[in-house]
Amino acid sequence: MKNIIVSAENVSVQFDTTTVLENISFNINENDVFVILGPNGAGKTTLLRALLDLIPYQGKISWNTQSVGYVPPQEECLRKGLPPLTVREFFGLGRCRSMKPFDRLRANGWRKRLPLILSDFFLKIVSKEERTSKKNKTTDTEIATLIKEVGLEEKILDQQYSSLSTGQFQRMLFAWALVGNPSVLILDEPTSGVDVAGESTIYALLHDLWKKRNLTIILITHDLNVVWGHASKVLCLNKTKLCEGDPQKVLTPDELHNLYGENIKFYQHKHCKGEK
Amino acid sequence: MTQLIYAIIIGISVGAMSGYLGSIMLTKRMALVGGPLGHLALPGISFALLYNFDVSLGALLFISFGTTIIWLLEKYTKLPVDALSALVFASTMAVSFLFLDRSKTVKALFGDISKLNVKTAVIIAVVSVAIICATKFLIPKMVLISISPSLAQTKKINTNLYQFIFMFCVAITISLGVRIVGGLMTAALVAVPACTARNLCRTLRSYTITSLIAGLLSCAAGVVAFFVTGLPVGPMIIISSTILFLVSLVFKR
Repeated sequence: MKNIIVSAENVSVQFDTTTVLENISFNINENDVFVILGPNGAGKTTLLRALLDLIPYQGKISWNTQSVGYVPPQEECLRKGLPPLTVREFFGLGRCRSMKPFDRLRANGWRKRLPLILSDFFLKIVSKEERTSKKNKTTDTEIATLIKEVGLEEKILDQQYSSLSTGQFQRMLFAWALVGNPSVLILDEPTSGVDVAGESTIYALLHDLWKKRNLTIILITHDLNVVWGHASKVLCLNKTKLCEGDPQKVLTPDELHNLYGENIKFYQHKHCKGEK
Repeated sequence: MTQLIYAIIIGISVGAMSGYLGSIMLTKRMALVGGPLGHLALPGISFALLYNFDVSLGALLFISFGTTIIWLLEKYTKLPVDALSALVFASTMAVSFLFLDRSKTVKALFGDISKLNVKTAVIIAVVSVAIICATKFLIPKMVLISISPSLAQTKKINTNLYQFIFMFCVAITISLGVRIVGGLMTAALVAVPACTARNLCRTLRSYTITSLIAGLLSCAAGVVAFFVTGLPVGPMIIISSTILFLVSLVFKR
């Protein structure tokens, strides 16, 4: 039996007076590829945001993991109209520095004693410098490795953030999400804005990462071929939970019509079935 | 002579501060925050001149007041922030000019650094250093928030708090800026050095530092030009700043 990575119990979200999600419960197991499926406005992104603890919700969400990587929808990221910024610097922005100055003060024990002896003082500065430079170095090599892992060249790190193509940008977001070696990756429509060829390579990459890193993946997509091809579990959502389980079993034509409306036709391509 | 020293201290501090902070105001999402605040300062100065209190204080009061009004109107009407700020700016401006003594108009519009004392110079210098330190801390967060608020949130960055601190820093910077460049040109005080730096730099770090230096140099040059020519100091600073910008065009990368 696989470990449960995240379990949601009766999660509901309300914006002002509108209920966006109602009583959603599910479990995600370790190494699952969990796809959230539903029409526009079904509350898919809202559910992800609740999972990430970015919005208030009712109910209970419990995580059984240390770190989670997040890839936001590409349209949400500002790519132009920013100050000069290299890709390397972009990675530096998220180096969890929000509490650093305070942590540093605390770590140095500034309240306990002041560095009265000058040599002691310099010793402190030197050791601190060493620590930070060492830390940055490992992060730099980590970033270089990640960039290569997502199929980009290392030299891209010195390019301008705004000069990346849509495909490169998407891969860079993957690398960003993998910083810190998370065991769970959450992706919100990772291929929106990417063309058909780019889309399949992005999913191939995601599949590789999933296999190699033993990831648990939580994914929003509209692409049913991806669901049939890669998903181990699917959650159909339209404000409430409509179905949950193995996509081959639960995604019946009836269920899909129930989810997207009567007039839609779905074709399950035979060649996708065996890819998982 | 002491007047010149005070003026240069103030010029350097305000210039460095506004150049540095201005560098992050040049992003799409932040320009919406920075622009209106600059415009709101002018009625504040006229108000301060009318009732004889410090222009920076007047500007700060009006910026806080105006921002609150804009925020409330935005919540209530859902109109775009820039349209609302134009509305608030123009109306407060019109009302303030009804009461403003015509002879003081030039001061309000173009800045004034006569009759300085050591207290003012020290306070401005200290505040500027504090704002510069705060800005150094803010830059990576604000850039990340500009790129994607949810990415920032997943890195445990409290976006609302940082945006508030940023607004507060901008309000202080603009309030100190209006003293030397006047209410008409504060937007240029923060925007032009950043444009200059953008022409020259390819990395965030070099860009923000260059912007600080460009702001510092243009304010220092403007103050000196004021003492040499006797022309109003605000335009002198903006002209120096623009000259630096033109020079940067030659070296554009």
